Amino acid sequence: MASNPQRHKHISNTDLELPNAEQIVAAVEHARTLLDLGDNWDGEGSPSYSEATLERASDFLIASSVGLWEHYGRVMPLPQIEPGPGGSIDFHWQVGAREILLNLPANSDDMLDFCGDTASGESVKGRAYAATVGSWLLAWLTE
Amino acid sequence: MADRVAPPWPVESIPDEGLLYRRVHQKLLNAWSGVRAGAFTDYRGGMFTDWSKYSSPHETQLRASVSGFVSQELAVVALAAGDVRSPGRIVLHDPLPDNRAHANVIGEKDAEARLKFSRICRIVIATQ
Repeated sequence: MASNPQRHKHISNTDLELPNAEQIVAAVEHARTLLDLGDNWDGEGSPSYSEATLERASDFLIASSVGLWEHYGRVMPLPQIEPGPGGSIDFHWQVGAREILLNLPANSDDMLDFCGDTASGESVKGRAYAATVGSWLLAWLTE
Repeated sequence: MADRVAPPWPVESIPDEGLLYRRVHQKLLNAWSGVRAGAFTDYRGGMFTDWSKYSSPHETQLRASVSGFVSQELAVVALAAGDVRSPGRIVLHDPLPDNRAHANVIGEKDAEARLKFSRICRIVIATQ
């Protein structure tokens, strides 16, 4: 799929130069293939994915990445961006012994749902609004 | 929950060691042959599966053709009923007139549950 200049502009317009900005842009662009899935794409009534949900997923990823860089000086590992239930988007990170699944709902009024754990038995789990959780969850992931 | 049209089959109790087969669309497999958490979602009130007592993995895969799907686009995974059960999550045999094996996993499919299922499932038929 062709690169979207708006996305590049979005990242470069932040005051921070993210070391992996290009990779984040590429991941977000690749996620747009979810838009190819029509209604009932899985045979169990799953709806198609909307531009609006992809846009919020992109915004969440960029804001979380910027926050992680700004507050913790860490680079966000790239997640798998996957089809979630009911038109939602799943972000899946596996970083060393740590793993997080975070679901961004199709309805912008709903909270994110996430869980994560480590090989040593540490775990996190909860629901939160997108603006409040991204950076610290990624800080936990990259601890 | 599936439509209720007087199934001719009795409802049975599924033992913990019983296997539940579930079809998984190829878009829900990742690049290293793992199963994405998005494969484990509800439809009409429950997560549809087939109990191994009355279905083979191949039969589970072929049932998708009724709804117009190409079976080669669908993998089949197996989960042990006992591994799926937990407080607040139950496995119910729910036979349909055309599918005696049909069973539902009832309970919340939040991120934690879906991640767990993706870890404990085993692919028994891969996509082609």
